[in-house]
Amino acid sequence: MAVTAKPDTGHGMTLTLATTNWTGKIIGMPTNLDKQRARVQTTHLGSTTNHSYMPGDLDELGELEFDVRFEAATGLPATGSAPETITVTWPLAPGGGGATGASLAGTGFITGITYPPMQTGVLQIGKIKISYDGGTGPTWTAEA
Amino acid sequence: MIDIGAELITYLKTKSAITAIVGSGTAARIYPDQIKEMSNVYPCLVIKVTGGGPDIGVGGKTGIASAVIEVWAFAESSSARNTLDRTVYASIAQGNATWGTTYTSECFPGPQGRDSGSDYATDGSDQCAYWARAIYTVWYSTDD
Repeated sequence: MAVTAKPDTGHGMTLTLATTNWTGKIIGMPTNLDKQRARVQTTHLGSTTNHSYMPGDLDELGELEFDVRFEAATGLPATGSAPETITVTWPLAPGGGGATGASLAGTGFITGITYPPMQTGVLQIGKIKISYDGGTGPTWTAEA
Repeated sequence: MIDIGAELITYLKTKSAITAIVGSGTAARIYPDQIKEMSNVYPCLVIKVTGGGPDIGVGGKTGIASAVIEVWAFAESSSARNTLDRTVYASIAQGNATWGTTYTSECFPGPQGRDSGSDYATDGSDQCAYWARAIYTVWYSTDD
């Protein structure tokens, strides 16, 4: 059945680490994958009106950030050593008729963890930073 | 045009934990906007849609809309009121559900917190009504 494109909120997103044994309560993803292709200027003395450009050869992959409802019994994962498959799965958009959520998947590693600040009356929020390593993916798969 | 309040009433009537308290089918004591004037009305629920609207892009409506819904729980004791109120919360505060024929993406408490109270007993009766008002925001799919 064809999937109807529908907008959606971020609630229901999941993070899966293939090797690292960590399943915590993610409360937000303030920074999703940012992918940038540099431009290379090709202006020459004969150029007119505008500078000219061509796309660079490679993409720059930004880091992903996750906010975590920190639980002392769970903690945070260790910063990465060997790359593992990291999958961010989207929730199914309402009314779209999809059965499998969209995803970004590729090999990567954990680049940073931040333990929560402690304050009276304030829930503890930790942070995790992840980078795809460019080895495999990251590949976007649309909802189907 | 989708009547999200009516869709929520339809959905609540499918929940056995709800109908065990307020009755089922056409006799279910779940009312839009206000309580019916009748005997044996408690415990009951009143559903009011108080806000929200379609998500608009530069090309017009994007196919999703939000609604702010007040769910009022009424009962003849504070404990019964609390049980009903919490049962509604457990039934609807979630992601991805179908209310009637409308797909919802997420329903969560807010933008204001729950409040509760009781109405003074009327003349000739020692019985007062205990009420709780919980406010939910829901995103749902619409082609309107």
